[in-house]
Amino acid sequence: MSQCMSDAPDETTTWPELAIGLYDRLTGRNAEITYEFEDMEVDVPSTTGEDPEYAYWRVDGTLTVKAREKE
Amino acid sequence: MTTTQSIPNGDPPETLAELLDDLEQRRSLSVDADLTVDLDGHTASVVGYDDLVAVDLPSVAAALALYRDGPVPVMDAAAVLSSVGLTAEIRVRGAPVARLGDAAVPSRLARYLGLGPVELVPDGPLLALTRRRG
Repeated sequence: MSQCMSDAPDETTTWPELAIGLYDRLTGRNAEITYEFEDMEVDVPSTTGEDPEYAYWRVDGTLTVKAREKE
Repeated sequence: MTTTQSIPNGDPPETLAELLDDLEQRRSLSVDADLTVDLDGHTASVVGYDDLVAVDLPSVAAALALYRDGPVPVMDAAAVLSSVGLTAEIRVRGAPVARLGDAAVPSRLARYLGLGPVELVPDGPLLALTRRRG
């Protein structure tokens, strides 16, 4: 996976904003992007608001995402 | 948490409705996945087959925990999945219990509960409770 994280990142405050940012990262160059996770540990917040609770997730394996035409 | 935005239509969406409008103008997604995900002690497998993502959980309790404690409300997740042409099939020990998103056919119960593009598989939880992993 090759991702450029340096062009002026903004703080994400809502999950719709996070989702569209993620979508653009995945499809911005019409690329097929493969993520290989090796026991990646994530504390997943229950909300984007203040004082969220966190769930502990651990991810292992491969995820490939690409864009396709709408049917 | 940070992201880099490249939104063609101006400001990034702040609400689910704005997100769905934005995604409506974009292409669908295809997912190929083979993942093992530990969700607060419940180990799930996630397998993607193009437009279908199967999430297999070890117990009904794990499915309920994901429904209750997931980072995104189920109805919102279902709407977003539908807008990018994806369907998530939730399974417990291999037995489908619910489908969310594009190919979900909302049952009368799901519509009554206002669950949006969520299909409940009535026999799924019972089958899951009686099924043992082979």
